[in-house]
Order: sequence, then C-alpha cells, then structure tokens
Amino acid sequence: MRKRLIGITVSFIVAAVGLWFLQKLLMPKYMDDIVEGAMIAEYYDEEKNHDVIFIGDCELYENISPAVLWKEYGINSYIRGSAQQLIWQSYYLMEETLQYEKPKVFVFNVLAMKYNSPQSEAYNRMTLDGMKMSAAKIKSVQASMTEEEDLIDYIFPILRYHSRFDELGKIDINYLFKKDKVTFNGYYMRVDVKPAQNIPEAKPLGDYNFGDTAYFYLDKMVELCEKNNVELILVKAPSLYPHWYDEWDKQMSEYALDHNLKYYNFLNSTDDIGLDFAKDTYDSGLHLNLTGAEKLSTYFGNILSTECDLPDRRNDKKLKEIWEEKLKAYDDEKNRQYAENEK
Amino acid sequence: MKKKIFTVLSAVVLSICLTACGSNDVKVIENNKDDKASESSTDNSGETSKLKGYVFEADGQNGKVSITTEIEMNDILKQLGDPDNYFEAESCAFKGLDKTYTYSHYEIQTYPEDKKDLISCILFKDDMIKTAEGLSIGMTKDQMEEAYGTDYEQKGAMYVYKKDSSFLGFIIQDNIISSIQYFSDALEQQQN
Repeated sequence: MRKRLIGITVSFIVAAVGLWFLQKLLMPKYMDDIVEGAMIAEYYDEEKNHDVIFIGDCELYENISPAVLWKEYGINSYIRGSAQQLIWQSYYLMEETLQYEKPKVFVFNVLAMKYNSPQSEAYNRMTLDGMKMSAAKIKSVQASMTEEEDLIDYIFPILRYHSRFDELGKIDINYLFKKDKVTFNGYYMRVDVKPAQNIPEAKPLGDYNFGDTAYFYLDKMVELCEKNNVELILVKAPSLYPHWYDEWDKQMSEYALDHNLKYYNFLNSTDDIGLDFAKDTYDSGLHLNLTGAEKLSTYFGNILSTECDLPDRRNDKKLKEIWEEKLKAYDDEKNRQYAENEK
Repeated sequence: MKKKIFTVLSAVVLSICLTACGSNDVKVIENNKDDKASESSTDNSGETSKLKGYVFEADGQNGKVSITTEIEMNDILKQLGDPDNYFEAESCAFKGLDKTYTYSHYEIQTYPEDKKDLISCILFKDDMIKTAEGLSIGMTKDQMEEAYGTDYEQKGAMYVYKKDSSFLGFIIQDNIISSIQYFSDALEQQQN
C-alpha cells in the first residue's frame, strides 16, 4: 500500500515537472523581434533598493534613462514598463512592487488615461505573462481580460500556448531557462534617428473626458501611495504622437491640484529640455532615441533631486559597484548600436 | 513499477494536452484584431454595392472611388493617387506601421494586419465633401437625423451610427456638424 502511494506521488511529481518544462518551452521568449514582452520579468532579478520606480507604457521605457539619473544625480531608479500598459496594469504593478520594496517616488505616465476598457490580448500578454504569480497578478488579469480571454489561460499559460509546438525554434531552446537582458533598468535603448515630420492634425473627439475606470484606478494609485507613504508623480512624456489634447491636459492638471500631486507635462518644456525632434527621435516623434532620452532624464533628474529631496547615493559602495557594471553594459550597447548604424 | 509510473505520467500529460487542444486557438504574438477585416477586404472588388457598412465616395484619378473601413488601402491608394501629406508611425512593439494619408478634404488612417494596411478611419477635413447620403460639415443635427434617422448612440458630442462593422460619427456643436468620421471596430474599441 505504502509503495503504491509513493509510486503515485512520484508519478504526479514527474508529471508536474514535465508539464512545467513543457510550459517553459512553449511560452514565447520575446528575445528576438518583440523584446517588449520580456521587460516586466527583468525586474525580479534586480537589487530592490530603488529611490524612484517609473510605472507605465512606452512613453516611459523609451524616454527615460535610469543610467543618466544615476550618473548625474545619484538617483537609483527602475522602469517597470511594457507596451500599451493600461492603467489597471500599472496600478497592480505598483501594488506588486510594494511587496518587494518601498521606493520614495512612483512616477506614472498619464497617456494611459485615454484607455477605459481592455484592449488587446497580445498587449495584455506582454505585461501579464512576465509577472510572477501573486494576488496582484490575478487581479490585473481579471481587470485586463478581453471577452475572448480566460483567467485559467494566464494561470496555466500552457493552455494558451500549446499551439506553438509547430513554431518552436532555436530561440525557445536557447532561452529556455535564462534570458538576455533587453533593457537597462527598464530603459529600452534606440540610437537611430527618424525626424518628426508630417504629423497629422489631432482628430476631433466627441468626448474628451477620461473614463470612469481610468479615474477609478488613478484614485486607487493615489490611495495606495498615501497609505505607503510614497510620493506619486504624474508625467506626460514629450512624445508628439499620439496627440495629447489640451482638454486631457486640463483634466490631469486639475486632478493633480485636487490631490496635491506634482504633474509635469514635458510637452510644454521641450525647449528647456533641449529636444530637437529632427535628431532626438527614432520614429518621427513617438518616442525619443538615446540622445533625446538622455536630455529628458537630465532635465527630470534635476527636478527629482531638487523638488523631491532625493539623496545622491553615488557614495553608497554597494550601489556604486552595481551601477559600474550596469553603466559598462549601457555604454557597450550604445557603442554597438552606433557602430551598427554607421554600417 | 516503472511501467506504472510511465502509464500514470503519460495519462496526465495526454489528458492535459487534449484539454488544451480543445481551447480557443488564436495566435497570441500577432495583433489580435478580429477576422472581420479580412472578410471585408475580400469583399472589396471596387464596386460600392459589394462594400459593407457606410461608404464614402471620393474623387479619384479616374472617377469616383468607393471607400469604407476595414478594406485594404493599397487598392484605394492606386485609385486616389498620391496624398498631399503622408505620416507613418510604428505600432508599439508590433511589426507594421499605422499610416495617415492626407488629401485636400479628408484624411485616411490605416492599421497593419497580416502584412496588409486596413483602413481604420476616414476623417472629413472641411465642408467641401459630403457623405454618400449628402451630409457635410456645417449642416445641422436635424439634417443629420433626416438623412440617417435617430437610431444613433451618443457619446459626448458625437452621434454614432453603426452599419455592419463600420461606424459613422458626427460631432455636433451648437446644433451644427463640426466633424464627420467613418471608423472601424478597431478604432471603436480604443474610444471606449
């Protein structure tokens, strides 16, 4: 009887390990063309001792360089960014982050306020699959799912990805257990240049008010930050497209005023930042390239260090060592991309 | 003993795989817009009668060109000729470009789907053009209701009519139409 019980237990363990392995194999690795799907998971390998955590969409992870914030101001920061990160996803990432560390400041990019309902499974997956299993992840999945999606497919992704069996390639084997870093503390580097030109006029909208769901999660962010004594800063990155309407800006300015928050719309400061959209963008003004991101980071770093009273931690021996290694990798990648561009 | 373990293991793996194969199978890595786009595109043979939804008739190089949402831009572009202004923006993370073609009196926006550019929006820029039902910017709300009825959904100042998978929106300010927009399901989702 005992032998039989042991046999069954061993069988189930072996089956579970087999399924876990199969799931690891079948899940997309996001290591070649769509690297944005690998960003969220990178955070877990970090030393959790950040002063500032940026949470939001591509307007953060392509426009802010934590390396510059460290080099110039001694601010230890990280970007928990992902493509089309919706506000409820940002909220639950904040909630999850607080399980690991308590930064002094959370920075949230307000473009996400324009979305009031779930949008796309493909984008959901890029944010949610990378999160470790937790209550925050489950709640984020529930808030994000489109009508065609099921919670069970996020808990056991093998149910969703089993059809990838025919598509498996070298990448799935090479990155089965260990992935390359695709960002520098969450920053996605691009050095190429594509000037901003021919940007179409803003399309008139019937209703410029942000939706109730978007405001619900913004309120929750405020409450969460107050409860945990973390300052919440709202920003609008200086991306020229998609359009940021004056009506939207007014709502965010009023919200910030009503809730005693700092709100910086960097579209109003492009001259002070020194941005030149003929040189500082790689995709016609949607996102900044490296030169643009470094200029914005220098400008915002000054605000963070002076107005938020963040300490200069460049004398912290342990952090200094960590950043020396990070900055080397950052410079190596910068040089590699510039060399590639010149070919 | 080994045989038993192997049998149990095989049964568990097999049952889970079979369960999985019964679930909805959609490619996740690709943008997951629905299939209506390709259906409409197939339907587009250049004849108005075969286009589904609201249709806009523009002046082309060789006569009228019938345009609606969710059809391929490539075919339309050949008939309309080069635009006055062209803008393209990379789709965040995904391959392909969101494109905007601006002509004298209207603008056409597209989104990438399966290596095709499908029309997501047609936007009137002035009062020099009309919808197929005779409405133009500057006309009144009453004229809109006369032409299209009152079976609309109001979203702020926008009155939206739906036909098949296409939407026709009128923005009304002080009882006057200030904007006319044809848009597709793909855009409708973003505006909610």
